[in-house]
Amino acid sequence: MAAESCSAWGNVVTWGVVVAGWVVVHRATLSRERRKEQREAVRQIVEEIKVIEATAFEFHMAEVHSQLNANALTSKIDRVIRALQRQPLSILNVPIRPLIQFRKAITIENFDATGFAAQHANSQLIYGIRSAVDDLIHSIEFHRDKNIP
Amino acid sequence: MERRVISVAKEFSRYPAGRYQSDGPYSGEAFREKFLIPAVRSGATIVVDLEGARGYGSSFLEEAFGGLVRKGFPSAEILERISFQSQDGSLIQEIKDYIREARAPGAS
Repeated sequence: MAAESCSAWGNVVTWGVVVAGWVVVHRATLSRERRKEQREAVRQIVEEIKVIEATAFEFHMAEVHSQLNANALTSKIDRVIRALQRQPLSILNVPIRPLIQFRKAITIENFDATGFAAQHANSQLIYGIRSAVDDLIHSIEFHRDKNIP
Repeated sequence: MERRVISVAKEFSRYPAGRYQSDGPYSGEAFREKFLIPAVRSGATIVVDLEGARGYGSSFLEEAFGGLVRKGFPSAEILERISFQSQDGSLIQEIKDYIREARAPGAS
């Protein structure tokens, strides 16, 4: 009788250890998957920012102003900035200043039909865009390394 | 005090674009002249709802809001009377920067 009771308790303990182990492994897997998804989202947003940079160069260096391209740029910039403030990327806590500088560098000067002039590759405006994009990407990568272990 | 809510997307355009009226009908200058200045002159407290539009260029924002200061409305009064609604915090901060940085007429 005592031996049977002892064996039953042994089974309970064994199953308890198995279930607890499964829970620990499952949680670790979920956490790893979440980090993987967050890192992938960061990689994609950095790619989108680089595409916007290239499109902005083309826009400002074009001979003729294109309202269609200006609208497309405004919309893409808006999407990227909002995505960085929403899940899953909001975990990064990217500061607001590089986001403002990113939009501003591309859209405050030479962005409208009035007074539009084709820019040289080494113009102050092109340099400003490159600089704002570098700062934003640097900020995203810095906060990725800090907040996604 | 009366409270006036201005939805850019619903009352003006989902595609606001350009600095001056010469850039198109949905420019920052047009928004300022048709909506912001009459609302400020009415003495109401103003809420500008920025949601729903497909993005804003900085030139639009600077001309619409910084332009108020250049038109003679004191920046402190504008910042007190106008508030903003947007899920994009950077947009609100950028507009406030333009209001603070714009030079009043006659300022050196």
